[in-house]
Amino acid sequence: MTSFIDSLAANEKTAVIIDIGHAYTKCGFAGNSAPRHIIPTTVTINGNTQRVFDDNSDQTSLRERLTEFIRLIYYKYNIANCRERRVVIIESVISPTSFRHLLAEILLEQFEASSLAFVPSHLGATYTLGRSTALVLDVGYKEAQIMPVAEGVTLAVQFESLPYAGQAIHKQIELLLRQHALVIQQGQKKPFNEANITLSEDVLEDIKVRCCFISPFPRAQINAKNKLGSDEPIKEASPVDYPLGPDAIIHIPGIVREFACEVLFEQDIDGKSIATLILDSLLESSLDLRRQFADNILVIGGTAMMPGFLHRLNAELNHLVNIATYVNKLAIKQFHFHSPPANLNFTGWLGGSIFGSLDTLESQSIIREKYLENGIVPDWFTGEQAA
Amino acid sequence: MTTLLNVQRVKYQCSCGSFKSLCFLYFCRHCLKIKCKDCVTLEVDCRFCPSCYEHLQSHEAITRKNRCQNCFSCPSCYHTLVTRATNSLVALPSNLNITPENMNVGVDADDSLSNSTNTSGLQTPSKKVYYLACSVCRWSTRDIHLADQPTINSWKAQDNIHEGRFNELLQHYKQIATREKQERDRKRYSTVKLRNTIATSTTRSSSDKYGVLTPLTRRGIRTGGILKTPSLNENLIPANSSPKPSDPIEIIEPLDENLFLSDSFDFNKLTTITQRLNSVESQPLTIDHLYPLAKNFTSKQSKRCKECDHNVLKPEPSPKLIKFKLHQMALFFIPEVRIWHHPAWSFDDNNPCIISVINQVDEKTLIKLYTLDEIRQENDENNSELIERIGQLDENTLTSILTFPIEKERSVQLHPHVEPNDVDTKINDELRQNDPKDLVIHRKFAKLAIRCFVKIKNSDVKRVQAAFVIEHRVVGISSIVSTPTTANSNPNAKNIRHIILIDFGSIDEPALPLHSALV
Repeated sequence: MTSFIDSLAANEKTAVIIDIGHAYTKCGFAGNSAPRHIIPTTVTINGNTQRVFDDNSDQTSLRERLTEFIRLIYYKYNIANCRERRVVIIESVISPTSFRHLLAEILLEQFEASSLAFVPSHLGATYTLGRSTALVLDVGYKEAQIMPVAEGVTLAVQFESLPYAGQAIHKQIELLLRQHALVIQQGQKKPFNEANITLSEDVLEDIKVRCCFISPFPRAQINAKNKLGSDEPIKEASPVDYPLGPDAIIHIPGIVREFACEVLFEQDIDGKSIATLILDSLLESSLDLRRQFADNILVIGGTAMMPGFLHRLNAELNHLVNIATYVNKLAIKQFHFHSPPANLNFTGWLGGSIFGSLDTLESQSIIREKYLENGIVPDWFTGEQAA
Repeated sequence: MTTLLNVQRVKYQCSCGSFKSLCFLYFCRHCLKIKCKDCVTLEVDCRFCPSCYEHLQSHEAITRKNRCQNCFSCPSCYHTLVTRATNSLVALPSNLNITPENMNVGVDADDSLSNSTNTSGLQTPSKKVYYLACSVCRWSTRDIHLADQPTINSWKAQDNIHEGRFNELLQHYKQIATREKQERDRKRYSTVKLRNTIATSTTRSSSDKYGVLTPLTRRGIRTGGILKTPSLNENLIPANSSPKPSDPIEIIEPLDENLFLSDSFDFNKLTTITQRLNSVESQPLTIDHLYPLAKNFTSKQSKRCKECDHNVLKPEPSPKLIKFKLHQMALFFIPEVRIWHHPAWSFDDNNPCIISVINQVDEKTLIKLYTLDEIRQENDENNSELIERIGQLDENTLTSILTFPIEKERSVQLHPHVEPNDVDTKINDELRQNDPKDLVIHRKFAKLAIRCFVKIKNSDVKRVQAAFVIEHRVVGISSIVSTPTTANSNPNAKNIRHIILIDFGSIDEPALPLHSALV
């Protein structure tokens, strides 16, 4: 089998698959079982490193960063010539049109790709299961996005998203640290607030990755009750002394480690959480599909790799279907999850890898000549055929 | 000369319209145009391991996934791992000397066997074994209980456990795709109407099975319901081709409470995100699952002009050579302009500034200087492009107007850029004689100091930026491919003009001290 893959990979013109995420970008070649690299979506221009997707930046600087970033992917990470190469981009169905146009322009005009295909990440993820019907939840950095895929058709009408994902956890960690943590600076202990420390996104991410976990459902319930004033005893997770540079140590209490990620599951002011996202999506689906979706839930995205995520999600779902909001509306009481043949953070990419190695790729792509001729990037709402 | 390293102060306009410092630009000697990194295509010339300089042909490198087989990085701190040799422990050679039959006996038998050889251990000569260690963070392959290897660099890459399943899926989708392609071809050539309609329905159903649809067909399906159209191909292809669709997880793995909730939790045992992402396929959670990372190849690239497809930069194809076969940096062909002096800025009158022009070519060069207005007034056909470009310049960038002391024919000779000797000094003096004294205030071989005036447009200006045009002669490479672009008798030599944008700095910057040669 490996020789088969090798023969595939040895082709100079293998399509390049790029999944540009808000925090991390996956890049590699079609037909590979894993991306070559997962790299932070940042570029260094004039000596300062910045994120490609900066919230407050105009189109020109975004173009500059994106061009630089794609050059980096081609020549530093993938080591591939960009000319006459097919490209598959894994994207979210709600990525802005302006961004698609920008990407098409950069790849097709500047990097002279011979064709460009956009694959919705949710759809791509279903390829990795060998199933054509699934309810796909993508919990990434910026948003948790859910979209059902029925018989290979993405039901974009039912697309739903919540801003509860990696970034929200980072914010929550910072908030909780301000409330609970102690800092040891030059042998002195003081509350975090007085220490005048600002934590960079990287440090927050490292705390999240190495210290935090998702609390099992029963413990989280007790914690939620305690918040409201009851006083049930709970054995706290052990605290951690996290070194911050040469002269400061943050004493992170167990409560921060355990409950920072609760932001994903606590229902917000509108009663929404990641679990309700799934239930609401099921409610919106037509009756004959609900059963199928509930049996085929696929959770992807880097944040879903948090320890204990899936177990907790399942427990939440089982709890929620029996409470007032859903008990009379939804007859489904059981949920089944799938595990893709990949790590969750590149499952969408893997779908693109399959898609990119097919003979029909060309007919599903925007062809360079066509694009240069009429400048149209086909989208949902344009009647223009892709091929 | 405080601006010596501030290369971003003086920018040249590339043929694509963007302004970049001279050191970041290339010069295509076929089109005789400045090219920036966006106007050239890169081409991977050679791929090599940055650690051992092993140089591989491209297809070979691609087969190896652009990874070196011999060099490894530390999975913990990403430095290069060093191979350490050691004399094996007594148990190890015995393990290695097991004959194939004994291998099959199993672990227990092995143990007893090694024990037995232990007693007669004196007979086995001590054998060298190798392991990898990091000289920076002290990580070694022994930390993860990887057995030492009998030969250097026989470390195997970690397998992706999902490889098999992935290939199964890939095969499946490939079959569907091939089928669809065949159907499409058939549809294209068939003339029978009835057959046509069947073919349409089958392509639709098969394409939806496999994914991204063209919006039109998608619409068709949405209106027609998601029921699968019974199709021909289902009958044609035996069912065994499709793999088992994935099964739902039976038992969802709960949180490892022993790890996260125990009192002895140590976050240093968990890997950082970078450590995880470096081994993409396994992404270990804890440090005892780290595995040596194969070094990724790096590459040398040649650069090609997008317009005429000629190389502007071509390195030697060996990783050990740092020379270039072809090296056409703009710096070697175009006079370099620097800021020598500017006064403390005043809004009212002309600020006298001094800029230097350095000839980079090893032959005498005649340069001409123009202000932007002069170019605008020149109504020459050859110039229309340049005038258009000047017209496109953002008025917000050009916050000041640059003028020169004498009115017209500002042409000066520049000495070749060579190590000067006696003869050169004479030429230098001669040239100095001919200099327009108002314009050129200093001359030293290939370097000239030129006086100019900068008038700031209005009092709101924050940064003083001005532009002018320089004209000089370059000798290009004549070739059959490049079309002679000038009416000139000699097609490969031409006078070319560049717009140069100078950023004199912010308005409240103090005066730059005068160079000692000018005082």
